[in-house]
Amino acid sequence: MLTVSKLGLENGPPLENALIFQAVAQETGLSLPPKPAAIADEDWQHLEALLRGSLPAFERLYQQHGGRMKSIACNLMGNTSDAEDAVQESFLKVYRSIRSFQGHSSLSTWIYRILVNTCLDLKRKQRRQELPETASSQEDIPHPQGLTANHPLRLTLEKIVASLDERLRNVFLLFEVEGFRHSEIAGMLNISEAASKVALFQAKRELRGRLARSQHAARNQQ
Amino acid sequence: MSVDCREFEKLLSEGISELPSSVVAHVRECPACAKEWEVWQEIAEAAPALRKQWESPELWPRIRQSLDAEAEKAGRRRWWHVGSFRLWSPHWQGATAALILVLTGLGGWMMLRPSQPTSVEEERRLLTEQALGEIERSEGAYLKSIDKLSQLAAPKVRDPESAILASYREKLLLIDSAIGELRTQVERNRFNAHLRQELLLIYQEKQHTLEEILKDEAHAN
Repeated sequence: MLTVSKLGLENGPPLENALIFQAVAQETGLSLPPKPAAIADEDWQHLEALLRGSLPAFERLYQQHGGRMKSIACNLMGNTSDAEDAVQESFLKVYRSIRSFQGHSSLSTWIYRILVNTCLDLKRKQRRQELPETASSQEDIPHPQGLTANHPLRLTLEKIVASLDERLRNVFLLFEVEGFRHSEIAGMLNISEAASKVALFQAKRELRGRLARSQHAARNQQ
Repeated sequence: MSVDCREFEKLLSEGISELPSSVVAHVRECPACAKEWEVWQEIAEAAPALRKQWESPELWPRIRQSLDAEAEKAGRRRWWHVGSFRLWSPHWQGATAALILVLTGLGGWMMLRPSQPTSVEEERRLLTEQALGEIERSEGAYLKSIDKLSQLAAPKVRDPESAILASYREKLLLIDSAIGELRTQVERNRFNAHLRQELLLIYQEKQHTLEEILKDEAHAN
């Protein structure tokens, strides 16, 4: 009988091994192995196609996550052009390293992690090359919900968030703006859930203080 | 700070979005916590407005283009990997020496053989045809011996009992697909010496792999 140990797969990356086992089992007419519990059915089929390098599978990935990826990248990079470059670069990285995805987190968490790291790398590179970071030109970007683009609170908040410490800003953006859970953010930023909660608290405290100062200054000007 | 204020603070630090009823009662009575909660709520409500959304019809085509280029590059790398497998191994060096010997012999034979009373172009065509015929005959004989090896190794490869055999099987599949691809190209351009050389290298790799499978089997027995 065909077993995972016979194929010598017990120590390798679980997802890839499961897929190899599945391919061998299909060919030899044996029943399929159970899929790793951490992976949803839909993700499992999608992954198979991604591992084969299927471009329609990557297009589906873009349709599912492209919008949110652009938004995260734009908030991290500060402008749409750099954001689009970061999304493109991230897709390339996903394509190159999909075989190293081990299924310990969801596929989407893994992809957003790549995106966040890509943005941070690009920012660091910009700083090293002393390129002037393009100023946020958010006026032309429609904001989907809530306050209008030029609402004073939104504008102030945006300015303050941009000036936050990188660690606090990333957690704030991912939790409050993009709606990820702390467990997902932990996976994306490679920190613990507790660290994510603490960072969010610190970020909000910082924002509250700066918002109060800014409102006070505005009142004094009037 | 009362116990309730501390509890309120603790809940904030845990990132709660709704207050439990016991704390709500405290917040109603404590102006400091009420103000804190109000600002907290204000930030949470304003934050989604920072989400960005814009149309970028050019982005997917750009990504697709870069993925296409990457796939092409990866294909070339895979091909090179198979072609250069154990590039400097004694097998490869032996095969290269043999190939050089055959080509030198062939060249010498073509130069020294008596000239035919035909035009230069006709002569060259005939020589090329003859050389090709030689190569194709040798290739045929070589293929037959590889087929024999394949038949011997077939039971092991069909039903691999170990990880190493499974990986040999993967490798053979890769080699066969590379051979198929190259043969198609060679059929389109029979006179391309570079393609034939690459085909020869791949055949050698297949032979070597089959030998290793049979050697492993002999060791196991």
